[in-house]
Amino acid sequence: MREHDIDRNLVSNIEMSDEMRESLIQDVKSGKRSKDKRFRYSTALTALCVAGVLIVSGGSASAAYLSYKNRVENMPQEEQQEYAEELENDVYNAGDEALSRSLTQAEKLRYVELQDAYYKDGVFPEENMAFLDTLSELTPDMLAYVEEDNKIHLPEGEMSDEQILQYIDHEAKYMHTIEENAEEASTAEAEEIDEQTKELEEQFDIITLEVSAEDEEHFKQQTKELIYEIFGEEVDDSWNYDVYEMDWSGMEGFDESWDGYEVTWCESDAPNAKTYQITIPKSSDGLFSINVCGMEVFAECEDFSWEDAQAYLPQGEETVKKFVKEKFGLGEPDRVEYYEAENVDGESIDCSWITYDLYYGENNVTVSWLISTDEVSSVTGKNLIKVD
Amino acid sequence: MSKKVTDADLEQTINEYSDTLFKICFLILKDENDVKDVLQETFIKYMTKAPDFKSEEHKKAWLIKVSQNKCREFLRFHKRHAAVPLDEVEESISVTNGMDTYSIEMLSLIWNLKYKLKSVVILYYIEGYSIKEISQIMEISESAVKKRLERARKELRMLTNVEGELVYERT
Repeated sequence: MREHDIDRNLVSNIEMSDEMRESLIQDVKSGKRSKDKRFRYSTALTALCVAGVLIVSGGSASAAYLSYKNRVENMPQEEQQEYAEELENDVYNAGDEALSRSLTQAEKLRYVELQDAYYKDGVFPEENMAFLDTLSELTPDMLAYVEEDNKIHLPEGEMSDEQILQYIDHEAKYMHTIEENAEEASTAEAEEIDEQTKELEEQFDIITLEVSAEDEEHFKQQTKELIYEIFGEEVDDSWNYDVYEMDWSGMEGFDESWDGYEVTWCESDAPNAKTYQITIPKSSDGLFSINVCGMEVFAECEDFSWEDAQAYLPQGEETVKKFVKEKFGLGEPDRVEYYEAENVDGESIDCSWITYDLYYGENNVTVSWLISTDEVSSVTGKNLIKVD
Repeated sequence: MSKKVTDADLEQTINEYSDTLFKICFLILKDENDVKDVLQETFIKYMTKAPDFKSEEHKKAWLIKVSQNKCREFLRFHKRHAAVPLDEVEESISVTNGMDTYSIEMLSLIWNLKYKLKSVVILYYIEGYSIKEISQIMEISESAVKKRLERARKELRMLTNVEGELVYERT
């Protein structure tokens, strides 16, 4: 018996009924997802929440943005119905599982360009993506959603620009449908939302606060400069910008020195648009982290198994050491560690980057390095000071 | 390499582990229908990913980890059951049936712990996992597990008296 043991019989009355177990077995066997759609779309919903905040805080909207919003918000009734049915039919298909094949490298690069054109310049496909009931209706050169197997079928050959635009348009409309569903659910639970938010903050011990207009402008200028100096990109007011104050001091392992501001610059409304995230400490002029993500960044990057990636370790180490020296004035670290990429289940996965931990005494700086492009995509450390 | 999960394997796995997962998730979510949703998502992940496990213990730990993640995902969006008192759920499940006052008080204290503390208490005290095993299941450091256990003990005001009996007092 363990000291301070709690009697296991405390939970002996908590039992699943036989009916519920039987229903669980039948539901899982048939691949039926839970009634709660938010399980399926939690990542997408989070992205949408962020996008929503960005839109609200972004000030005046461009004509192209309005054009895209207008397009997805004003789908004909029949098309809305098709998307609602697709959502309903979405049985454990997510990400690549939802496609008949992966996008080729050439298609990924065209996708990045056309997605930008779709969201920022209002470039739309001439026709909508086809919705088919059965696989027998499909031809090898078609791009279509097929209800029978609940997949988007890409043509066997390379997709044309029109087809890629149709696919991007489909994603935008599908995301909009999810958002609409979430909004309906939110409306039904409107009275609970404020209370839930408070409880959430209490549960996770992180407090998110809005910043004043003056501070918002200050961080805007500061992070614009940081992004240019560190990644060489000039972000401007056409990007979505947002800033929050983050109070981490209630969390285990964190004290007031971790409190700070989280700034996001997002190139467009696209779900995988290029995004810069910067966290700035409240108590000093340095920064905690800066990173860039989005399909534009990763489209050119090849995935490597850990076995193959190890051949590039010395090259990456040289690049990241040079990067932290040039940008943050850090010298030779005491030691360097690196990690194999794992998924949430702890399984090794193919990956386009290697993460290095550079140790300086008790402190460490974590840097992600993209193997194919020999570029740094993120750097994290306590109180990094940008070298002028 | 993963293999395909047969219906028989799925049924056996649900029969074997659904009770344990139900207890753990019910203490966190406090609503049996929400727990069913969480377990449905958990076993669908088991079926679709079909991981290869080194042992039954590895399989159990994986299922607990996934169900805990699903509970956290659920709470992130809902969180409406967090404040449900123990006596309010008695209508659906007689949680305290046959228990003495001491046990009811103890369960009530655990019931009201925050998610982060409660999850390690359940795994450590009720499921009997070691600190190292919990750190692997929860994907947090061993020191974070220890800190959470310390905080939980503090909140439960658990003390061992001179005779070695477990005693506690309300915070």
